[in-house]
Amino acid sequence: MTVIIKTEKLSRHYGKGNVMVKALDEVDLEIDQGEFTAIVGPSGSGKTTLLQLIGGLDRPSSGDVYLKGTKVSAMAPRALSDFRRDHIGFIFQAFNLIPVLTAKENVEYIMLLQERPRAERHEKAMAILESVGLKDMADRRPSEMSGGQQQRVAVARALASEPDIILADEPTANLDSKTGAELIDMMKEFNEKNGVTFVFSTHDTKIMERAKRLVRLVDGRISEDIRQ
Amino acid sequence: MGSNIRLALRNILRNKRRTFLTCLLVGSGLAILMFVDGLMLGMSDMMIRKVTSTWLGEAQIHAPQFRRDLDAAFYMEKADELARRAEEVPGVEAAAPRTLVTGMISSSGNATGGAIYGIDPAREKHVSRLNEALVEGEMIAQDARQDILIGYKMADLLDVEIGDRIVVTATELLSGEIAQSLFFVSGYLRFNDRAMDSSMAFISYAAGQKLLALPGAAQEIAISIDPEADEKAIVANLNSSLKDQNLEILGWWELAPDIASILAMQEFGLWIMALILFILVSLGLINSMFMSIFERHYEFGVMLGLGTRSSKLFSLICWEGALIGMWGAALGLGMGALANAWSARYGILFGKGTSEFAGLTLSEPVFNQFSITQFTGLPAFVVLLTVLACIIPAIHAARLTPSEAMRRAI
Repeated sequence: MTVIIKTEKLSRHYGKGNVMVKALDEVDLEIDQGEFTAIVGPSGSGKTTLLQLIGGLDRPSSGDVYLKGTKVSAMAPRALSDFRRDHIGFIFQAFNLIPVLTAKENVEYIMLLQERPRAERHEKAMAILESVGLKDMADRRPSEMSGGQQQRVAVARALASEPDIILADEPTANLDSKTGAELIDMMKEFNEKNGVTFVFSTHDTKIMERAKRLVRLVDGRISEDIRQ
Repeated sequence: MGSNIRLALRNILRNKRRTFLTCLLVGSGLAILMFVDGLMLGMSDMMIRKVTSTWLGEAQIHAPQFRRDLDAAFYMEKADELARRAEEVPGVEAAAPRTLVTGMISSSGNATGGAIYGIDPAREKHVSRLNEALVEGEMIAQDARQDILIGYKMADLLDVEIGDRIVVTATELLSGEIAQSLFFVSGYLRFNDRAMDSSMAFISYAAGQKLLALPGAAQEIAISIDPEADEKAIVANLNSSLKDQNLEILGWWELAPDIASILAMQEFGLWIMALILFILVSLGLINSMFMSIFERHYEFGVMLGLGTRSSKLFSLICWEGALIGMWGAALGLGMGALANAWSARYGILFGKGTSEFAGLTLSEPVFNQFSITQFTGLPAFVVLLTVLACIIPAIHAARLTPSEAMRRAI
């Protein structure tokens, strides 16, 4: 299997001297292409930090991150933006969507950044919304949708750019268990059908049960790495 | 760019009240500037009219060295012919020759120095508003030999009434001898100008030439110019038409340079005031934009995380500012136009005729005027400053890292 995500002695500190907090402490991790991986651990263990560093949303204090063999931790900001746009999809815990855009426009947003033609954006957005069961919600704004529907639009948006990796930070945290389960099953289906690599940061047992691999973090270090 | 403008438009409509208040702030600034500009134009116009039409005229013709000491010895021969030639220049409405001598004016009670003008009433009324300044008595008749009009302050000083005797003592030009002439006060003039009311007297043109013993000559020809014409071009044409005569022909801006300077300073002052006013408006605008940005930190984090470039975020904020600036300018144009229209119709009277500005008494209402600048330069200035005010908040947004933005929002 091809390694698609690799971290080498990845660390992230906040503050300095006596008030320094080590959110992540020399983490070495490799994730293969197509894996459905859950990063688990108690609050403050560094799950979100690890995910943000992998996705290039933050800069490490030390160490490196490689995505598809590219050292993203050393990329210039503009190149990193473009890399995220083209290769990584994000699903955040809450407030994923741009509130003034409709569901369709939110899904199109990434394709707009990729400068795809209008007709192509429209067609693909509608197709993806249909695949997540929200074709009828295309012209609704986030405030007119439930939390579950918003998260499904977020999944649709993440898939619209045809990424290699999708990073999801506690995507089911604000959802009821039924809705959460449906969301996870949908993502699992995309993973199995399209081979998209999913990495979750989560407390949710439903995700843990479905994940093929569990990476447990404690105090910024990997304490366990289980392939299920 | 179209998507950014669309997004900017929707963003500023998220909080309609805040957007409206911010537009009102910008618009009020523009409206104030428009009103002040209109007021200054009206004041300038009034000052120029007061200076030129009261007595000065839009231009004057003299012998080359006359104005240095107002020495009557520097006179123009065949003044009537020169006046007629001046009137032939297109744009010149009228030309009125005047004799001028400085001398002593005395009554039985007192004496004072002054300037004694010899005027042709029939021609003078097309150049100045001397007849409007008459507050008591009668205007000098065309061929009056002994009638004299004096300023009302001079009348107080000399302690004379209408019909009283006045003796004018002056030097005859050709002989150099001191001559005295007897006149009778036919009326008082009130110019609402201290200097004019206390030191000017008027006799007939013929009497003036007799006083100087200089038939056919005059020291000054006052010119009135078509109000729609380009004054500077007309004066240049006058110089060109009469260049064979060795004369000094000057426009009002050269005859009253202090007024011209004040008017130039007024315009400069308007732009300084505009800058200061908009620095204050900008502070309010920056505050409003920062509030809007802080509320959207997490959203910006998401946008950056998705792959939005910092430059696009910067551009988005600037477009939000530009749209607010344009709407504010539109609002301000309406308010400013209404304010100017109101003042253009009803005028503003400063201090009921007792206010003074640059040596001139503001005895009549000032009527605001419209100008092209109010509808082009000022709004463009406002929109530009609005966008500039948004640069600091835009830089703040563009410098966010995705994780930082999401963390700050929590």
